[in-house]
Amino acid sequence: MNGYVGTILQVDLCSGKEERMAPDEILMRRFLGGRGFVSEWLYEHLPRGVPPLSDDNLLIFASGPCNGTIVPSSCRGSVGAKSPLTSLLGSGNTGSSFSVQLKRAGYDMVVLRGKARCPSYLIIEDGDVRLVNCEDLWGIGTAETVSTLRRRHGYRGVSIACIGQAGEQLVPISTIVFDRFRGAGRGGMGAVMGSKNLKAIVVKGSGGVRAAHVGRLRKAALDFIAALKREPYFERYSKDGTAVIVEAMNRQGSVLVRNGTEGFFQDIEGINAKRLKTEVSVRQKACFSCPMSCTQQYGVSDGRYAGAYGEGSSGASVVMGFGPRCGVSDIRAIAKAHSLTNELGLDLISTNAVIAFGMECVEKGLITADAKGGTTLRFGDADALIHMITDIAFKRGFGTVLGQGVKKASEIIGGESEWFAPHVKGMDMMEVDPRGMPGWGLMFAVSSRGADHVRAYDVSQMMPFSDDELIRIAGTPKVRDMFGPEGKGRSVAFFENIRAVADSMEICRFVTRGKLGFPERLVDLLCHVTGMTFSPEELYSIGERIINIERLFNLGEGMTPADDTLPRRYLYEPLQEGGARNQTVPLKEMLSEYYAARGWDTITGYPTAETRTKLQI
Amino acid sequence: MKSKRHIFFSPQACTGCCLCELSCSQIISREYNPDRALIRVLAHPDLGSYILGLYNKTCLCKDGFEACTELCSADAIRFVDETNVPKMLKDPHWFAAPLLD
Repeated sequence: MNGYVGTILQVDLCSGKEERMAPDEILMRRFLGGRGFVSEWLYEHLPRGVPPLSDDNLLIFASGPCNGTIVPSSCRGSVGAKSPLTSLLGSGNTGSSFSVQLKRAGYDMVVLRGKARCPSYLIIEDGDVRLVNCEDLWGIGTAETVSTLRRRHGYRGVSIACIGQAGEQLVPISTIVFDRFRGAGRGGMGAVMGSKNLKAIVVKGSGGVRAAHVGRLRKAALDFIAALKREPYFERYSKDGTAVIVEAMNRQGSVLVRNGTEGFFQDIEGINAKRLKTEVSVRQKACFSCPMSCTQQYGVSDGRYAGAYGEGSSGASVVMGFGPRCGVSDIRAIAKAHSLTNELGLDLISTNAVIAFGMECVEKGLITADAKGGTTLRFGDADALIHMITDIAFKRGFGTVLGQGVKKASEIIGGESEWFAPHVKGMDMMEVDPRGMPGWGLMFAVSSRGADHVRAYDVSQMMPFSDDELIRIAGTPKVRDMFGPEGKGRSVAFFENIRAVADSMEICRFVTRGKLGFPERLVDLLCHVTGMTFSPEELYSIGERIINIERLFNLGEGMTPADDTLPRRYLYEPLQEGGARNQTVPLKEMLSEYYAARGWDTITGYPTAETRTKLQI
Repeated sequence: MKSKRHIFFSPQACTGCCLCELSCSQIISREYNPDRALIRVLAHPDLGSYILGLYNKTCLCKDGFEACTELCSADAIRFVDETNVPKMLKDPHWFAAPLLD
């Protein structure tokens, strides 16, 4: 077998019983691996209506066919479960070496069910799979957990996924932290792991991964790297990380400022990429098997937050989320906030979303220092921000309210808070103001895991596509217009489909964000790895199938087309200043085009019979 | 590595991607397995300082083909002929890769 290693491992954490089975070729051909495997498995095997934090929920980790090979940037891995935050699909994709080591240990996918009798961690060391009691690790943060487990199980070839205190406390915005610095699993995957009494998974593999046509794969990989180096983002991201986009986004009005109350962040020079680079950034590094070094290591060596350090490839999200969104212009505080979310096992995006939301609630007088746990949160108060992150993880005071996510917090707080609560389907919205990028507003409205950008990562307004390319993507070059609705529906559907393909092959979105994610660029890599034959059209259809399976999962859990919307602020409250002045999101027109592009019934939200026949679902 | 060529590396340039290991291992073992590679990226697990080491076994690359450098986007590895060793030793950015056994 090439590309795949031939085993799906299922472990019942209650009984310790293991079951191994081979993935059949139909599953591979229809869903590729990684994200596709996770979504299909949840759709097929998780009964509808299972409480997310019950023993019956499944927690799945999956690798893809390219993991462990020389396919550039192929270290990604997927995780998924039913979400305690949204009660819909919860999932994540991470750039650690976890999925590579999982494959080297002999597993394409691991499916966990049940609940361990006491706090435990799971060791997967080639054929040896066992659960180990770890009450000594329960209650400690991710850094010490990883250090302890590395001392016990080694360094090289070992990858560790663990939860922090937030996951143990079943906080719905907790995440799983991979290899200390890489969070993945939006929608409370950390809480799902905590509900299973599972502190960590240690994976150690000694095997290799085979490819069908090694010579052709080498040539295709080199061609891909050469093309990547010609892309304008390669050098910018490799030198300065993803935060290079923050300043331009602020100018165009697409950075969320003070929870969306303003359209331009005046203090941007305090937190831009240059400031990040000179004051806290240490160096650039790459993920395993990636030619692009967009990961930034950072360290705070002076000031009140001295001692914080970490790394991540989500620099733009970190800076925009803990910066303008919360009104904070102290780059050291932002670094500290990121370091703390990793240490406690909190989802970066949800954390900055709920805190900014809480700040606006306080400023509007909806919450006082004495009520509902009390808080002194204010926009721009970095100390209060840092303090609140810890309170959320430990369910202390007002942190107990905010830790439930924006949607539930606004239900508790009441008043007008629902108007500006930044979520879709219960998922906290990322740090872009959709009034400044309406196409991204559509992405947030329709994404299979709620308000999220990486399920589509539509770059049709950001990258220099030709007219012909835009006609292929969106049916019209007019999609280039940032604010016009035309073409946005088709464009988002297109990018969702190709994103699902790369996520399932497990190639990074930063590398495949533009033309390098088009099926004709990926198909050779996949064919040379697996030895199977695919056409670019087939590959595109697989992406479409994965999106539809995720849709069917969510509809089965009670989602309706009415949930494909945005918080009302972004539909009805124009920005008063900045590059997106007077803009709101023209969602209705875009949504209608999107549904037509998808082949979904506008009343029921389900794929039409024709769509289901076409995609064989 | 029993060869008249020496391998030098630049710790400042290396980004730790390990594509050199994967590429080398496929030549040696016909599968992608970092543990089978003759070249090894030594790294701190959290802090990511990278040093390249070499196992003292026969390198199978020949006729100008260099599996590890071919996949290195950071230009962090150089095969150096005996005659060019003094020049590389003088360059503060380059270090001869230590042997691991």
